[in-house]
Amino acid sequence: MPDAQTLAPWLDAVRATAASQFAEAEAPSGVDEVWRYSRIADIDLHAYSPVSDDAGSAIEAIGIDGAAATVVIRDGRIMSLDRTDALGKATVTSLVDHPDAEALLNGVRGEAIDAIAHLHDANLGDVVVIDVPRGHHVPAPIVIDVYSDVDGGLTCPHTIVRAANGSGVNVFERRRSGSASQLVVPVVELDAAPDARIGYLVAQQLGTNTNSLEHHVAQSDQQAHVICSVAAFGGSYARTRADFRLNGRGASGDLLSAYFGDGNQMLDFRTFQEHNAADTTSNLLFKGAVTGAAQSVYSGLIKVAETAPGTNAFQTNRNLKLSEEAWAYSVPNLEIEQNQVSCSHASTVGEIDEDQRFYLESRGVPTTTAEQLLVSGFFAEVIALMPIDAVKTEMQTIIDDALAADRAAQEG
Amino acid sequence: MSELVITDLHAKVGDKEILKGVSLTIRSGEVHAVMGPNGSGKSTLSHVITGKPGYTVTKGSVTLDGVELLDLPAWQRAKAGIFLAMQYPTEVPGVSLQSMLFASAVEAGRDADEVKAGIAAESERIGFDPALITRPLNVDLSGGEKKRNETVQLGVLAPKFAILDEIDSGLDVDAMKAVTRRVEDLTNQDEPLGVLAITHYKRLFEELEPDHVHVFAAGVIQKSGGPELAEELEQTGYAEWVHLVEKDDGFAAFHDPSGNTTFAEDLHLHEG
Repeated sequence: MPDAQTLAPWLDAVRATAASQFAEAEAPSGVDEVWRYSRIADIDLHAYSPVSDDAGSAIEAIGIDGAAATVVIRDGRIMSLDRTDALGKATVTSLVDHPDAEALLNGVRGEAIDAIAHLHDANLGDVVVIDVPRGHHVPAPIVIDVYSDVDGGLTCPHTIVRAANGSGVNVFERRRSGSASQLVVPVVELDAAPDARIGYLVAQQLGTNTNSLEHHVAQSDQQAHVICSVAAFGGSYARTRADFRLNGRGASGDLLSAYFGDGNQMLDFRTFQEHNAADTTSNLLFKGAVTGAAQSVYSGLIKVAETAPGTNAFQTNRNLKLSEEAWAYSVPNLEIEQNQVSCSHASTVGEIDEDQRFYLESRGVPTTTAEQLLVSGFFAEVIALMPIDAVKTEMQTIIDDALAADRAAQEG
Repeated sequence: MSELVITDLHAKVGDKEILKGVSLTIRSGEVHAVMGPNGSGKSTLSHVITGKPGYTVTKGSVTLDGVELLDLPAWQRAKAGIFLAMQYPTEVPGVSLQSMLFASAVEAGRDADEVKAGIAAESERIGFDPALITRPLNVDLSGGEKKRNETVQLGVLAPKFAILDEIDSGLDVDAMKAVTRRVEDLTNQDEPLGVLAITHYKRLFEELEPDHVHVFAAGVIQKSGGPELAEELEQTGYAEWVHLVEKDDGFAAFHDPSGNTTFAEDLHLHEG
């Protein structure tokens, strides 16, 4: 990691310390609740090596028209960083170029919680920092396009979004990889100061031979609002853990996901809605479909601290099972230490509703089209809530196309 | 002139036989009323004709102008010209009336603009709120709005035959008039609609005059006649038919309060 190494000795120290901690850390096992039902036991974390700078994985970036800034990351390195006037006073930089670099890195996440986090820190690539000053609203989304394609390669992307008091920003991250067998361990930190607003969406479109262990950590201060969303489609075993912390009075936010699994993949989600202050609100809506021999896991916990009276916390996970072999697991949980709360959780796993399909068919809509309309409609609810308007149609189309391909394959 | 011919139709749900030999012929422009007590299998008849899952046809046929409908999937039956106005229209979150009818139009080779204009015209005609056209189908709609919605679809899809399953249930007087008048109009147009109206009450016929009335009980048509039969039923109710109970051997029988049980055949009940 030449550039970063020469520029930031402190960062080398972080990596080195993490490397030795990783060497000693116990790999997660399916016995831990947070890894139950996962495929972590099938992944040898030591089998992957950091990708060298001359790996040269290349693919054309997919941006958003009118984006305030576009960052292109290949094999863990920032290849280009295009800023426009729309950024205004906000900055988009590599971590090592930021004056608060040391405080920013893992400032929201905190200490590494497990071997995966040590692995991430030890192999940290270029970190993107989006910093929005007090009262400033970035009018267009900031785009980060990430790609890697090295056999046996390990990449650890890291994005930090910091929104100061009363500011606002939307960030769209696109995660892709080639067909090489590889491991991606991304971390995303979202930090919303009082009255700030952050909208974040990651489109996970990894290759079918990529395993991914992603970690999102968000914190909201007083009256801040954070939307943390994931559209997950790719990967072999692709996991997203989200720690959503409401730390200031009146803070609120949404945790959203649309996921579609096919082939033999497993999409795995673990969420923690942590209410640490009074009058905080969190809404979680995760909607997914699995077909072929795909599997999905959703496990979520709402934690309400004693210090958080007046909490409103909602958690809804809905799954469509589109084939015999597909399998969806859904485990909602509550842990409440406060009486003055309003919490609910709901989870369902079901097939396409037979009566709904018949209703459309009885109007002359062919079966396949009827199913596409129903699945598309199922996802429309959650996609509508996601923060990046410019990619909503694309997210819907990815699902529609995946379903069409699946139905065509089933018809043989 | 089209013809919907139901011949000796038998169907069951699980192991329970619900339709036990229904025969009925409907021609374009005719209105046939099928009346009967609750639980007699009237709705099953509508579901079996239109191909709703969950039923097994064990015998008989349903043809539309000679084409066997029972061999076709539900959507092809609709495409062939059969429409079902449901008793309880299904709520379909995420799919609007407009996108459903567009999808149907694509399959039928019809122009989307024509369909859009058709939806607007039909909505206006029967007082269906245009704001509901692009909202999820039947979600959060009142009973009256749901039945108006069904009637808009009937007008736009322009089928050869419509089966109206208790279209009068859950309707206020205004909605009832709007819906039945529109159906009546369709039976008098150049290519007239044939109607099979399943109902419990005669009030449906205030605007929609039936040509034939059939009493349906215990899975068969027990008696057929003209509009006067509906009048008669209004006077006597279904008392004569509601005591039909199912015997283990599958024969429909009258249950006499005196304790004697008489088989239906002995009473010279005929099938339509």
